[in-house]
Amino acid sequence: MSSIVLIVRRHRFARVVAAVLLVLLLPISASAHSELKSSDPVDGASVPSSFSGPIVLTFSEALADGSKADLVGADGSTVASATVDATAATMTFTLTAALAPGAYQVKWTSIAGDGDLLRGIVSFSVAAATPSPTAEASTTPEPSTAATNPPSAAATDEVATPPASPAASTETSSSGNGSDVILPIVIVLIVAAAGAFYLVRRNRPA
Amino acid sequence: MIADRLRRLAAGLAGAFGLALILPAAAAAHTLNATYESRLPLAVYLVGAATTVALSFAFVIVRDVRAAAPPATGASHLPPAPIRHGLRVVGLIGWAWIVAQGIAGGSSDGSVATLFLWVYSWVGVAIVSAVVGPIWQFLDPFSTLHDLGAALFRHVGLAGWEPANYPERLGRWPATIAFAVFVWLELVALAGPSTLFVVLVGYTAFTLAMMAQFGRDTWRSHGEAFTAWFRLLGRLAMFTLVDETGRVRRRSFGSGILEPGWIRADVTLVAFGVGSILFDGLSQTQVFFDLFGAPGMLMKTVLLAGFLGIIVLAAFAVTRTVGLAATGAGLLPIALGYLLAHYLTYLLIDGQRIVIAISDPLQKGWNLFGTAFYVPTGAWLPSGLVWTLQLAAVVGGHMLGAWGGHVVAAESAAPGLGTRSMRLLQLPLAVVMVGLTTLTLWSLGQAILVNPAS
Repeated sequence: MSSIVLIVRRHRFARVVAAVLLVLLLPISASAHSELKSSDPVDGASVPSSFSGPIVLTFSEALADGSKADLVGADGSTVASATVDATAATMTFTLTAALAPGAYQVKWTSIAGDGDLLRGIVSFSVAAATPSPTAEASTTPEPSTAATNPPSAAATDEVATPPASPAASTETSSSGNGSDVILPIVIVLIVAAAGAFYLVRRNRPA
Repeated sequence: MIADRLRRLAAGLAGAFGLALILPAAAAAHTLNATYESRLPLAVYLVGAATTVALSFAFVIVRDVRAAAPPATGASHLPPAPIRHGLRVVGLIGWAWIVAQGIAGGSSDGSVATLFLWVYSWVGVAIVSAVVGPIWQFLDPFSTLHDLGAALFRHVGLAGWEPANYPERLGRWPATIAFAVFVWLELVALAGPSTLFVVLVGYTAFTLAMMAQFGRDTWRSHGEAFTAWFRLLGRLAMFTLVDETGRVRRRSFGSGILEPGWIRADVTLVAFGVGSILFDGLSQTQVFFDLFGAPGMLMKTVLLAGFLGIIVLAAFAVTRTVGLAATGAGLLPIALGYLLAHYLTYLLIDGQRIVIAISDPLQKGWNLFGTAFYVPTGAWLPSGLVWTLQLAAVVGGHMLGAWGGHVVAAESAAPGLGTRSMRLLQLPLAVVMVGLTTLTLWSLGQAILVNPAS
């Protein structure tokens, strides 16, 4: 058996182990995130046709290089990019003209001083120029999944601990009906029957 | 004499589990994450599952079901080269990606340290190893790094030395202890990307040093935690590893648990596996929160150690009646059942984060493929189906364990032992099985099951 020629002699063995253990025992560094504190317009808002900004996102901590936000139209094209004020922890879109009616998303990326990165989406819509009650109703936005679940420190940290169920992601509860009750029982019975059948066959003398 | 000892042991175990079962009954109304409304109360599921496991145990004991271990010889073959080399490349890329992200710093939802180590390896590779075969034999980046280093040293003309003799008394305990450390990192330290990067680099250095000291394959099979755990789970798999070159042989699923070779470290490792998954589920229940609040790291370490200690003690108490091999054969399928029940959804949902990672591989805020804002979703997974799968996995694992435990116990029973004595000897194993079934389903039910509003 070949072996890597590492300079690990027997009398150094204990030192290697000790060094590795020391590395493993290093304190767990705390992470800091710059989370979205507020936005104007708020997520899911419907703004009038005359809306011309500004759009302002405010974060919980100072923003590092690389933080950015784009205003994206319904067709996926980038309408504008935000100006980042690192110390004020804000991202601001200064619009030169009123936005065309339709749905928009602000896709933001914040990077904290220690490099921890968060992403999120703020959705809003611009109403048609001559709003009527019917038209207004039709432009009411549906918050995106991303917007209703902005990444957070907790969400990132949760990754380290497998949840016992998909509850965190499966948000809607499903009601039971007859088949919901029957199905688990049937499956358990099938598994039991299959196991019993298998064991009986195995036990049968040749 | 034996009967008295067994009665005392069974009474003790029954008492312990009875106490555990009373707790759920008192707090079944509390739910942390209610997602599935069932017409049946959780208690009905628990009673049904426990009865199923108890009856399956009674069935194999009364019928005295026997089976032979799969033959140790027979045709074997190497998996196709593209699969072997492909898995090696994937393992190495995964390792290098974690290291690159660690050096670049930061964290995000696209962190591959948590994704690859906890989601894909700890859960995904474990399940594939238990169901299909030994993919870790090729994925293992530590062995690939070792082989690359050895080739490099040979290329520059440096010769190796003879590996030292591995101290036999250590057995597989180094791997078992390392496994416990990883469990602690996962469940107590809640190790995030930066910690995992340090741990991975340290563990890689340690593993390579041990491979150099004792030989790659010796350390791999005795001291490397992932290999030891995945190989143990591989006793269940359809393809078994024949030798260190990676040759595999086909056999019936589950039959490998009947093979000899169980040692104390193996049973401890399986008990750690079962206990850690169970602890993870229990620690997310309202009852746990009511009892312990949100414990700090020290307190949670004590709780985890205490819980794992109870599971290990219960396992070794059972070994006193049915032996080491029967206990191992009984527990291993449970470990697979728990893995599927507790973590399959985690794999299916959180595993989607690779879509984010490929768009921003170094967590710099890039969006190379337009998928950086993807949000993993479980909306496509009906919660009723999830609960059904969890139920089937737990009960199925216990039924397979009941069969394996009985068959091995019967085969290894002392000659001349009467039928009644042999049945009594297996009673503690049955009690542990039924207790574990109920406890784990209860913890799973807390998170997903609610009764419809009246």
